[in-house]
Amino acid sequence: MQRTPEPEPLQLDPAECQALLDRHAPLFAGIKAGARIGLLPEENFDSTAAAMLVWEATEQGMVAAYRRFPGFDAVEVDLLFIPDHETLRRLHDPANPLPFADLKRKVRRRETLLYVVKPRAGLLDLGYEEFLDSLGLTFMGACR
Amino acid sequence: MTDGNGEQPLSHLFEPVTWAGFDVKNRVKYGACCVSNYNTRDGFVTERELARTKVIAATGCGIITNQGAYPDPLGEGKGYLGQIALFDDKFIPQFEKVAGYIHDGGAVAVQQILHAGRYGGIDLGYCLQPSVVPQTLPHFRPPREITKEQIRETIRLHAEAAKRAIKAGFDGTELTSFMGYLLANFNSRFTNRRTDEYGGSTANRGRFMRELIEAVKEATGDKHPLVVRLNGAELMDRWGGNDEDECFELMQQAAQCGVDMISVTVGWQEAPESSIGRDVPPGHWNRLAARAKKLMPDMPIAFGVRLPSPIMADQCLAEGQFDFWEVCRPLLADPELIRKAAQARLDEVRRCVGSLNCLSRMFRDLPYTCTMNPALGHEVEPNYRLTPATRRKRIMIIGAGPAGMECAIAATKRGHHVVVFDRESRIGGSLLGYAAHDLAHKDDLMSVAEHYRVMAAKLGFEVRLGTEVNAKMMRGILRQFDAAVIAAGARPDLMALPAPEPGVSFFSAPDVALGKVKPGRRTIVLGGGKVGLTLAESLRTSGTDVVVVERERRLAGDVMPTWKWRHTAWIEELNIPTMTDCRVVRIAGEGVTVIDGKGRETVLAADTVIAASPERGNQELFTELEWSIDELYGCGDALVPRGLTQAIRDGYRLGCWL
Repeated sequence: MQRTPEPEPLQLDPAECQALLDRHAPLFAGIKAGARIGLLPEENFDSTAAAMLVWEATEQGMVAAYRRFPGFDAVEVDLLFIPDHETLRRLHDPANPLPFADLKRKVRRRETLLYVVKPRAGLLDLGYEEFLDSLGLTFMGACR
Repeated sequence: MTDGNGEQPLSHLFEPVTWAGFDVKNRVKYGACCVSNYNTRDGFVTERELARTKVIAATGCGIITNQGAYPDPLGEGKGYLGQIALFDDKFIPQFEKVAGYIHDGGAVAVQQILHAGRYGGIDLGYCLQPSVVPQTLPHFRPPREITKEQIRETIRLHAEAAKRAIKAGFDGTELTSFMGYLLANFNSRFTNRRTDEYGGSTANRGRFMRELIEAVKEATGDKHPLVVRLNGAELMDRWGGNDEDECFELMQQAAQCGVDMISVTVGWQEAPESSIGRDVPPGHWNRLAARAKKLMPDMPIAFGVRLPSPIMADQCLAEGQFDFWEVCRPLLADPELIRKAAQARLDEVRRCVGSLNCLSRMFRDLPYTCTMNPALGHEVEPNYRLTPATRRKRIMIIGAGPAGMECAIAATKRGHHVVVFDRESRIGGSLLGYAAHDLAHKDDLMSVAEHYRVMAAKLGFEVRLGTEVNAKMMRGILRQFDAAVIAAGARPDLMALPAPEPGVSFFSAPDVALGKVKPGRRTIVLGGGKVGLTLAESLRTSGTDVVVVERERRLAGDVMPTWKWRHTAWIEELNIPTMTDCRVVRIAGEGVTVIDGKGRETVLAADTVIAASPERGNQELFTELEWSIDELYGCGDALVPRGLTQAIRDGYRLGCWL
């Protein structure tokens, strides 16, 4: 039986990732258990064994873990951010007072791409409304 | 021919030309920029649509493109709930009517075939794409990869739909890759990651387009021209989409396949930059049309992206940047634009202000309407028409803002004698203050007030500025008027705030916006709606330290959906601190005390406090005037504070009815 290759490690300490979620728990308060947000570093985007960071909502709060990115066909996240390493580093920097404002700004400017993997209705059911609204995604692009 | 001010000839715009064997009366092409969403869920044209089509047919354009019809019975190509269909002969009779109306208006009729691809499958649980690449916006269907068999079938369905359009009487057809539809999905590296002959190189990615063009040409014959709309810039290259060179290479492929016109467009729905909003300067993208023309001098080029001015279009035509001015949104705002340009009445034109109300509604699956044209979409309804008044009345209108002026214009056109009163010294009401502080493109909103000034002069109704209307004044003019309309706008609801303590510089947002008072260097704006945010952004730009306090959980609650992100971005870019879910409990000399949703108290130091929202209507004036006039009405923000779109609609509707 062929073994799945181990994901390449990100440069982030898992404890730092969890600490970020714990520090900003209120931001995810409306998101329901089972929801998952993926962060795939831009530099790893085309790698067949790319590792992505996954934030999963549980009854106890958001939990950070690494998963292999299996491609768009099979990825099991609701939203998939494609930040560069620097954005990821700043996001997890404990000295950054507004890490998510930084990320949102980059999404709005499309410096960080965000794939919407689940349909809108599914996202609303999972409690993403306020999160999506704050990103200003709906009215970006050609028809602005 | 002049522009309306007797200055600039528009001879190029109105020059008759021959295109693909058709005599075209001018160089204006009505672009199928928007699906109206007026039609039935199963693709049939409604009476509402036909009435609207008559208005489009009468615009005076040389070529008119009817909105895109989806070509497949499953609806994989359907991108809008009310989109028309052309996958069966049963639809032909209605298309015959549409083509007939266009021909009655003296235009060449073109039918667009629109398969929305990545944005399609609106009634299904999926959409079709060359490869599975999720969308980056939240209102579309999950993607499925289109098989080779489905590619062949999709091409066949396009060709059959085009053939039906010709059978219905259309002169030509159009394919579109605008915004990220199926054709664009194949052309772009961003969404086409196939490894077969339809993916990879530009030549392979363009294969679907070439086969599509060839199939449609074969189905419709040489006498019926084919237009293809292609991106001059996708604006997706940051994320692996086509760069401009690839876009132009694809255009050349289309030209070599024998298309009869290329319409150059800009941007994808998912692109990182604006392309048509009012934060983009008019003429910004003209270079793309010029590049296409230079590259393919024998190919007719149509263009109109963020090019709303007939004068600029005429100049571009004179310089040979393109061959046809492709225009849509400016004609939604003023269907008489072309006629006014031809009759030297451009100063009377209602400009498209780029509010994108039309698209805000589209993305809510609603029929499109227009901020500047309140009759748009209501052409079928008699009560939206300006018919002669059955009894000529003397009408006083209180307020020279958009609601009052719209009412005045409509009522005057119907034969009433109208006088407008306003306590300020200029026409425009609160819009003037809002426009003066708009960080986007002030001229667009300012043009609304200028339009009213011009129309008052041309229609000959009196506007008495610097005149306050109150009970005493009304006693002095008793029975001089039959009806009064209160259109005096809204004001901040000071009762919703604690009374400012003595010594506080406490101003209302309208007074600051109109320049009546000058705030200090440390200002707190109470209210994070459109008025408060616009003012805060402008003050911050001029060096003032501003904090915005909002009682709701989110900012920009009253801002049009297409513009919310813009305020959010400006607030962040200008580094303006905001506090949401906060209640103001004290306004004192040292600043403002607020309590947040968790009960925490904060004192915000300031030398000036500006009250922007909540707003309230003008109940006092209604009460004051009720017994001094025969008929008393209200419209716009004076009734319920909302905004420009609603003010214009209210004023117009009342003017139609009085």
